[in-house]
Amino acid sequence: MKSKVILISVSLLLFCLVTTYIIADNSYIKESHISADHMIYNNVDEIVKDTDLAVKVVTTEESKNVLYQKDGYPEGYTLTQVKVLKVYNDNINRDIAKEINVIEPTYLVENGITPGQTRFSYEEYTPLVAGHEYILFLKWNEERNGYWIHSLEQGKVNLNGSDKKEISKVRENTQLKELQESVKKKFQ
Amino acid sequence: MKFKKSSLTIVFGLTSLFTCSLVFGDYGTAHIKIGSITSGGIIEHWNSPSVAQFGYTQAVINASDDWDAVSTGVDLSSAGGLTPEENANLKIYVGNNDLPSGAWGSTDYWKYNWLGQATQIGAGEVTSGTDYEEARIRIDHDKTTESGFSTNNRYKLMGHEFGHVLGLNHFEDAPAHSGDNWMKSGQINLTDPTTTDKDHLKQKWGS
Repeated sequence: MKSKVILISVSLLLFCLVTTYIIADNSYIKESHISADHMIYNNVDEIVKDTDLAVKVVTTEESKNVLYQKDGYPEGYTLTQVKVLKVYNDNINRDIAKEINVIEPTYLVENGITPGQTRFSYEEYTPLVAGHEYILFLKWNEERNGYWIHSLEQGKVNLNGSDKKEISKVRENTQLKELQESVKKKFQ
Repeated sequence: MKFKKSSLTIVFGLTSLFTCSLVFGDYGTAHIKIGSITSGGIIEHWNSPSVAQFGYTQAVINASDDWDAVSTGVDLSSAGGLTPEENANLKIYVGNNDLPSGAWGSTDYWKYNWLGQATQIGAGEVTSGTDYEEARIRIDHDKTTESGFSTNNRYKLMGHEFGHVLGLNHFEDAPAHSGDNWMKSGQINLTDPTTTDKDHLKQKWGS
């Protein structure tokens, strides 16, 4: 009888531990960043000159985490589909579809035996949030069949104040704040 | 009268302290990481063949020699990248279109798990105190060419990335330093670290 109780208790405990681990593994995301020396822009005219497209978009739910190996190291990016609402500038003269793929400088990796995943983003970049409007400054990439968001956090401007992570970064970064104000002044 | 004298002394003392803090800049985690490479300041670097192939060998030597000369607490004298790859704790690669649009160079940090697999650690974690076993510098030659990088720009870029390996953050992070420095982001014409760069390295590793 006693051994039965012990067995049931241990089984229950194990069940709880496994369930907790599975929940944690599927829900916990640690945010990390990668240092990168990159272009910094004083105003909207500078970034427009350096990019292929300046567009107003609304993001969709279609987003794919792409991982690969390079020189034995894990690498990645995120491919997100966006709907183009307006083209402010086109330096590339390509046919611009109503929906395009944008390449974000951010990716998720599994933490191995530790529960959860880690999101690595370059510098101050924060991921696009589905269903929200942005102005994006883009550069075409043939290899990945999509447009890179140019120069990390410099090329992404949330329009309706709904991207809390981006707002937080902008608040701490005077240069980024001034650039975004310049973008909104010109294009809105 | 006595009260006036003491008040003036206090005001003068506080003003001097404030001025000094401005002159010597920020030595907090905005500019200096708490975490370090586990070998202390001893960095054995390995150049992948791509470094010579794309013409960055001199930039590596310049960065290594310049930082090495700043502090006796760092040792970067690993014969210009001739350390065998398996012994190196800094690996340097140059490629084309390996980095996101607009990014010329990057530094990342790694630890090895019990299976011998490299696990990436974020730069923020290193800033907060996590040590790392290996660092990797990547340079995107296509992006630097597109930006019209000069030799001096390349020297600054490599010096900047080496600075990250040695535990320095960006100097434009608040409270920002004025002027150009190796640890400032951007395409800058600077072949050697500035006094501000050097002061920060000494703050971390000693004179």
